[in-house]
Amino acid sequence: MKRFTTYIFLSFALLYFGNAKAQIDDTAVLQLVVFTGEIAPTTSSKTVQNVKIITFKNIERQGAVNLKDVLIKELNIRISNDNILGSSMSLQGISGQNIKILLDGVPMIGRENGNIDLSQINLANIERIEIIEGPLSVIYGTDALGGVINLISKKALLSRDKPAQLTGNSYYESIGQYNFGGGGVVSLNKLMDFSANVNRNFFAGFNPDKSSRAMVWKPKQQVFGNFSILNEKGKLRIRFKTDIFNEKIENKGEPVINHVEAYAKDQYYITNRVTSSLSLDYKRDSSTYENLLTSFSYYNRDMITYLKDLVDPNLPPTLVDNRESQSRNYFLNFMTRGSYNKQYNTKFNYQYGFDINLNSAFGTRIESDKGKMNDFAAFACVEIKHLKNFNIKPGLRATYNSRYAAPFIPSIQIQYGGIKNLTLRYSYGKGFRAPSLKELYLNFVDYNHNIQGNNELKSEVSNNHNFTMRYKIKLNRRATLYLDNGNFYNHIYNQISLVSLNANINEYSYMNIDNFKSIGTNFNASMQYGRWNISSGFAITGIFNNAFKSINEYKYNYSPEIRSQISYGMSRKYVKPKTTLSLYYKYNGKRIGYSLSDTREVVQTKIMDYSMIDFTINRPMYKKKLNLTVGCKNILNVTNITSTGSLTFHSTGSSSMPVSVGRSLFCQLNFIL
Amino acid sequence: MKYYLGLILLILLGTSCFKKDDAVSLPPGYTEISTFFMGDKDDHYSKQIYFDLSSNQYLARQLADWDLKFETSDKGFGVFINGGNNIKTCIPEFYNLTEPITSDTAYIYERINNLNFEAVDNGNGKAEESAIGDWRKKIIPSGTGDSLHIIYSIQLSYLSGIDRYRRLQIFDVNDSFFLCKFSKMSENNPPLVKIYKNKNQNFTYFTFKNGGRVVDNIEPPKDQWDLEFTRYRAHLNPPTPIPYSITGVLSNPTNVMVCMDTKNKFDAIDATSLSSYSFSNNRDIIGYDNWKTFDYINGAKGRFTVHPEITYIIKDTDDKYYKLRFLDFYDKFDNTGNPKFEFIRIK
Repeated sequence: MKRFTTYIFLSFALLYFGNAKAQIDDTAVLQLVVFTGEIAPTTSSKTVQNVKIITFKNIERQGAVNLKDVLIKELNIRISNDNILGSSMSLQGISGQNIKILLDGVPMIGRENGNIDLSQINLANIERIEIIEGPLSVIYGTDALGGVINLISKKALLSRDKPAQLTGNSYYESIGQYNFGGGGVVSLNKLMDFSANVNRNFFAGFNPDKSSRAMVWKPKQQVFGNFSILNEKGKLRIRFKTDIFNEKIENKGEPVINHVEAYAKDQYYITNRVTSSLSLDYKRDSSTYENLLTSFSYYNRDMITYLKDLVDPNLPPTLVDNRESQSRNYFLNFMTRGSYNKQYNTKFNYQYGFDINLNSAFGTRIESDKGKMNDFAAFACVEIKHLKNFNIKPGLRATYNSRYAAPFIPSIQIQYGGIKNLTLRYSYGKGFRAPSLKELYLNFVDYNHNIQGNNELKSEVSNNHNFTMRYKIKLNRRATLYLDNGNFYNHIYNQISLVSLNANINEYSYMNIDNFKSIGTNFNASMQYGRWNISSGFAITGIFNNAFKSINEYKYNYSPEIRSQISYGMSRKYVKPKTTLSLYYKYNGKRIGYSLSDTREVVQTKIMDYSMIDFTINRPMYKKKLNLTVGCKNILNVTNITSTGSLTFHSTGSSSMPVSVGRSLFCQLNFIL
Repeated sequence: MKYYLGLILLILLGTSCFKKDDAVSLPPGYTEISTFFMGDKDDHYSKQIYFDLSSNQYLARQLADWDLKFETSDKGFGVFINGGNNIKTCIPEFYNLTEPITSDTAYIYERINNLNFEAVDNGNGKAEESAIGDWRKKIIPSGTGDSLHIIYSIQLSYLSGIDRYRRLQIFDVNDSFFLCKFSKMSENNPPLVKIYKNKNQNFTYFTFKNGGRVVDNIEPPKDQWDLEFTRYRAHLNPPTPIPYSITGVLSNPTNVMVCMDTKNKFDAIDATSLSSYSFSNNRDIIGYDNWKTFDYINGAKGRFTVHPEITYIIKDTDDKYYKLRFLDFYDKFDNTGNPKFEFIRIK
């Protein structure tokens, strides 16, 4: 805390001295280019599908460090935390295993319990986040059934009159979060950029019981690195990029202390992820655009247990060498996706391409010869524009998979702009999720379990309907009001569940049995009025799962959400705002659901409601070379929420679910030299 | 330049590392510490351990050596199943074991599949709350002067196919023996068998192996042990009971009483504390789910956490009082089934 206070003091000193050289900051971002799922990069207002964009400026104002920090404030998104597995999400009521996360179009691998840990996705080098609700399986294949989140890295220097640039960032939070990082870009003759960035995020761990050696929130060190080369010559743009991630989570055990000995068993979870990609963009002419993206991804997660002598902690820890205490799992992915995009005329665009994914997994509980799955797909989309105020974009994907029967995936997106100031969008998409290698080939037998994978599983298939409306009202010269309404209906067939084959001998396997539905609506109003920027929305999502129909009688369980964001730009009169005050509010309503316990009992689960409020002050300085954000996160000091039902293996009745470490002050400094 | 220096200083402040452990000084010792392994390489809970506090000695027996146990006290009528060996029983049927039984395997399977082998002995050791329960109350007098004696279906986990199912019928009990019939599913009119009460032990142990026989030498003499560390089956998640195999500690039903103290620190408990405790002769006061809890981590894998803050006060078979607390459930190499506990006589 002392160090945090020092940091705050130094930061405000910079803020004060920097004031004399204040420059006008323009924060307005009007036309944002969308990459995800488009035939060619398109401005956000012209996309046929509804895309939610979170810009770097917005990320910076929130004081957000990782993807979880941003998504937790969004409508239709719920975040769950596990102190070992990290943060997972659900979108439109659909769990994270059906949501595809891309980094510059390359799918992230390394799902633990079906989910990518959102806290492993650092935002220091991210230009913007594009969120598309509903399936984009035509282009992105499996796991894109619930939606796609594409993170776009920061731009290169090539277009600027600057040969080199250094960046740095640091972030301190009073709960024991210490992050810092930096990088640089060098441009050679405006033809080639070399860039490299390194960030280290460290969390010291937290336990309300200060005397305990074991932490409730586990200490964690994350190191992120990336390196890229960008070459642009004539019509060809080549980008090679490598992202490296390493995480170490320390799970210290409670000590055994008696008059004979003192020791503890400590577990370490070590994660490594390396993704290398090569992207070729060739603009043949003003109407033809070709793209080839090839990537190789490596993911590995180890659990290592050591016995630590506490009488002499300087002694090296002893490896606890048995099967239960060590695990090692690897996942490899090779992906190549190519597309040919043609703007035939002002009214007709088309795109076709291929997508090849080769996956392998091996580790403690998956036999190496079985952990392979290859996927070959072809896809095509056409976009018909200005057809009596309609823009229509149908698409189709055909897939051959080496392990399961992949379905044909059609989709259609329609935009209507025939009414002044009103934009209507409808999309239908079929989505699918391939059975995971765990679901296909798990082999877990001990005294209490006999769980076998099922290599005859079919993929989960979904139908998704989205209908959105945007109405724009120009109130006066300085104010425009946007009213948005979104509605969705998702129906997932063949959902894969663990089912009992023979309860007498505890024999279970994965089967396609469930029908899952989610339905919801949301309203959002946003307005920029002078120095005020206000956005407020309400959403309600209903979930139904027929696996539990005997209990819930075909009823949807609804849960509401409220989100508000208010920003105020402080400045002298007639000067554009420089310092921005922002308040973020998100209410997550009570969630009722049903789940199967490990002993196959249907139990009702209930997660109580809670609200989160953050307040931030953001100020750019020194000709925007320096950007300081300070604030208070989780003002209401929500730490755990009550959850009831059999959410854990051997626990009964009520328990608590971790939400946050608690209220914290933070200070973030980003600079460009 | 001063601003750049400020930036560098700010970045340097952004470093921190994992906290190192401070050396621990061992507390002065006055207790006995005991530990043992309850199983073998393949099954960490394959043994039941009979532990004697006064001698700090234990005896290990294989759980697989018996299937049923019969209460041996004069008035004892209880019949218990060996849940630790995954022996199960179900809601009984009302058939006369002497009636002809079909040998049609498909028909027998169909009947078995309709049975629910979820009945569990209550860990408290009370015969009327066992899976078989008070069978004497379930005898139905018939109009012909005979009685219909309930038939229990028993599932033997260590056998396969139709052979894993047996029938048990208990006709009578007195001070000296139980009168029973055992049969396979397709067998009719089996002979009456006397199971004699071994008064030296709390139970007489029976196995279906080798045609069915009483097994001696499972339990030590009943006045020579205090605690039984064993795997057994219990109902989890009340009020929706889920039968599950768990590992815990049961006290000797003969003259051992136990009380759990969650408030006072172990070191503060002495003879003067005894008057404030109310002791119970329920066998499962120590049980399986207070001194250790299971944290569910990473899908199907989890860990036990032991709670040394809970102290058990035990009156043993010699009427001496001990305080006991658990320190661990793993050995140093993280194998489960290794309870470690410390105890000391306080009166």
